[in-house]
Amino acid sequence: MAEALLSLRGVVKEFTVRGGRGSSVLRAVNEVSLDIFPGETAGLVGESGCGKSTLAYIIMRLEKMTRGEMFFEGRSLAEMSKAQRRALRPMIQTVFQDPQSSLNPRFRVRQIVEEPLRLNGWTDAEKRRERVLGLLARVGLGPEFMDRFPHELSGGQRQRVAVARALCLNPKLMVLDEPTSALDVSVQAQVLNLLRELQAEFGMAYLFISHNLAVVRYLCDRVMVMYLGRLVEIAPTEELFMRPAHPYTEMLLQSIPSLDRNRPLAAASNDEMPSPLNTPPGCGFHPRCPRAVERCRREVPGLSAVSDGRWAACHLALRE
Amino acid sequence: MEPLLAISGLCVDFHGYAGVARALDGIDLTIMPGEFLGLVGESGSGKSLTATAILGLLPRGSARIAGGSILFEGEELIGKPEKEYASLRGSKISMVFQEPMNALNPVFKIGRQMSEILRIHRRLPAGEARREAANWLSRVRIPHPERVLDLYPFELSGGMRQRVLLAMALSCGSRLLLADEPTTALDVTIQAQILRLMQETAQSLGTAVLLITHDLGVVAQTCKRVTVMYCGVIVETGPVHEVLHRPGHPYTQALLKALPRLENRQEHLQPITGSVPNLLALPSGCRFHPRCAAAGERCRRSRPKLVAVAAGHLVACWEARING
Amino acid sequence: MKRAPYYLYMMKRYPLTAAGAAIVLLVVLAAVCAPVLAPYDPLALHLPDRLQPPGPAYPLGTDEMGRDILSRVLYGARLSLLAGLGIVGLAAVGGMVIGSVSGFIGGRVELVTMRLMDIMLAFPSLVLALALSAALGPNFRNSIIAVAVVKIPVYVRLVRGLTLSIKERQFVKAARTFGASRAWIISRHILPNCLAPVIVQATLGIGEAILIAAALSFIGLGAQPPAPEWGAMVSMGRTYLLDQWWYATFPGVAIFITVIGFNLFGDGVRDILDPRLRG
Repeated sequence: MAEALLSLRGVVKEFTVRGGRGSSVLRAVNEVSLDIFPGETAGLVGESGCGKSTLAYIIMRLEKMTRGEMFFEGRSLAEMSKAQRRALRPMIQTVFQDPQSSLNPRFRVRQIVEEPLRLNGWTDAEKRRERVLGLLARVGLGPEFMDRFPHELSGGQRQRVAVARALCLNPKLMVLDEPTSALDVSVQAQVLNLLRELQAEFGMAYLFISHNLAVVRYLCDRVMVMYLGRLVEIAPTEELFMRPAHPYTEMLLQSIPSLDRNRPLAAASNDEMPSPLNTPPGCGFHPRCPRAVERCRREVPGLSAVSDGRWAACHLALRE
Repeated sequence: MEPLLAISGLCVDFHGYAGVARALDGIDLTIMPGEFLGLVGESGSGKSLTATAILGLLPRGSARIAGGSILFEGEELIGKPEKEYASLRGSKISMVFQEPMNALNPVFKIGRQMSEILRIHRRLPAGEARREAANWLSRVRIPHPERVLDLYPFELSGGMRQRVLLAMALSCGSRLLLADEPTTALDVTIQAQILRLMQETAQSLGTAVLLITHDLGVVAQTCKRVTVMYCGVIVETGPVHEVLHRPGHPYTQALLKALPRLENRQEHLQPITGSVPNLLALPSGCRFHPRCAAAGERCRRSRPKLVAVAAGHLVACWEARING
Repeated sequence: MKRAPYYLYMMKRYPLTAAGAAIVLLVVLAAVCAPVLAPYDPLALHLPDRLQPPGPAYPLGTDEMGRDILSRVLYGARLSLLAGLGIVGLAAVGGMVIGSVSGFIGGRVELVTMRLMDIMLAFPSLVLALALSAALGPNFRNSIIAVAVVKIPVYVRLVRGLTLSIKERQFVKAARTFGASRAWIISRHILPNCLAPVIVQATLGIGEAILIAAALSFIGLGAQPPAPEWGAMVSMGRTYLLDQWWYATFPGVAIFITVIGFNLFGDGVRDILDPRLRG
């Protein structure tokens, strides 16, 4: 079993929310443990409020976890010195969701892509220029883009610039936070194909966060499903789609309007996801779950193995 | 049967410092009473603009209707005096937007906003308006409608807000509901609920719906007919299953090939080469020809008209060939 | 200058702004070309011709020392422009530094800074400027510094608010993931994105700055005689207002026109820049 590139154990992230009647604690991420292996594409799916963005920010180290541990290549971050932690930054890079806001509107493309280089010891301007040109070419943008501003580029081109920038420091893990959600279908295909090619060439791992399950099916090897701050299912892609083990995954798959299926929309339950401030007791999904039993209301199900490489957090998950 | 809405030859121009851009060029669209029509296109296709034009809400000063006609229940809408137009909006022709927070006034309670519409369009006295409002809230399956009337928009979730908007849009005898990306900002599971709700409510009221979206999946599940737009023109229109499974226009075909499918993992996605042209520098002839694999000489010279390739299925392409 | 057709188009759509721009241009020209346009040296005395009404020799008349008012008005434009631009320039720069740092760092630094700014804003600008100016010593340079300091809180508030929102944008988050330091982020990401709103605020503030500087000179705390400052001229001209109306009137009109010009222009700049800011 290959050693994990990135591991999280028992990660919890709490926010204090000051409401009208005093403050309450919002647990955005609730005891999450996961592994990401070198070179794989792991998908992280969930709807808004499930905590996937917060989890992503913790992995990117833009947010500090309230408790828990993070390991990179086997070494615990808590045991590293500040300098060692700083040296980790180039290894984990990100492509953000909104190409419009992830690029500084006042920077030219050249400055945007070379910023990571400048911040990480590349002092020779000429060497930086060469690298930037090379990266732009790799993402399909010619040298004429060097001096352009983001507002002169289309959404797809901006996202490619973001990808070029993320590649700068040869990261081992790329976190892709809904990278194609803001793009048109035709452009999305270009960017997805590009991401696939780059991974084949550079061998980095991807953490692909999305709410679009069709895209996840196209790109990912493994999928992790989040609901109300917890991981509820982890499975290899095809198995997740063909035989979902967790009732929430099933509901998600049924709710997605699709071209090929010739059936009317699922008579989805009328309830909504509860607010993370007010998580139901026991299994967070039980109020909406068609299969819920008494136990689901009392006990929180942990992630347990359903079969080899598959886990589900459900008392009634099918076991093989 | 008379069409509810009949748009023919609609042209809209945008005037800017760099010149005049023809954002809509000869749009022909018909909606029958009670019909559920999908209008799809990517950004820049002009689909939202079409809805804005129907409502007579084009930004004055920069946009101008340059030709064509919009007939609603037989009456011409273009050139209608603002006062008459205003009484149509919200009652007979209503709209639901993508971002419910933008359509709801954040400083007024839901009850007040809904009653206001009922008082203006249906001239109901205050008490009755409130009862009607609660009625409509339960019709869109909002739990505890009486309580919701006293809430502010920010106290509701996205899905709830969209239901409120739907209720507001349908509460005054709407004959035509324009829905511009109504579920794009919502979670998938909520999206399914709202779409189903729209379908059922519209059906029970006999309201026609024009669903504007970029999501072909949504159209496949909810609409009977679909119209595809590209760069300000209509390129294909027909029954949903015809257009999505036997597309005639190269753009539609390319779009379908570029779409990742939920059903099965594809080996390869085929992106559409090139990009959407700038409205100020449109290609000659067919607007799609620079990106089209099947482009011929005629495509460069003149713009194709919508021609029937099967019953009710029209395609605007010189090289139209049905693909399975 | 590729943007020339855009600006021309904008001028046609916003005629009032165009008018304001024209006035500003006129004032700038007067200031720059004063040596060429002025018929006399503004400080030269022509005692035999004291208090002459406007006529062929002295188009705007003379003051009590025989100095030509037209020449003094033209040269006075320099002082007023210097005051206006100097004040908003200093205030804007000071405000950007204080606002961005306190907004970015947050916590107690931000709290203390903002309360300090609130205290300053609680005083009427003129009163505070008066006190500062008197404390620093009555001369032109000090009056500019005094008014600038009084105006800093406006910019601090503006820039701090901007900083709070820019700080959350994804490109700042991205910079943090490459290991950018706080100084890097503030100087390269936050401040450049504050420039446009600050420029708008500054343009709107020039008119008021000129007015306050003139007011200080009027009281005697700004430019000292014999400097041809408009405010000082109006002050001196008060004594002679009934019989020699031209003395106080022309500099007063100059102040009036200049301030209106900058205000009209400033209003328009805000409207014109705004839609472009949103891309």
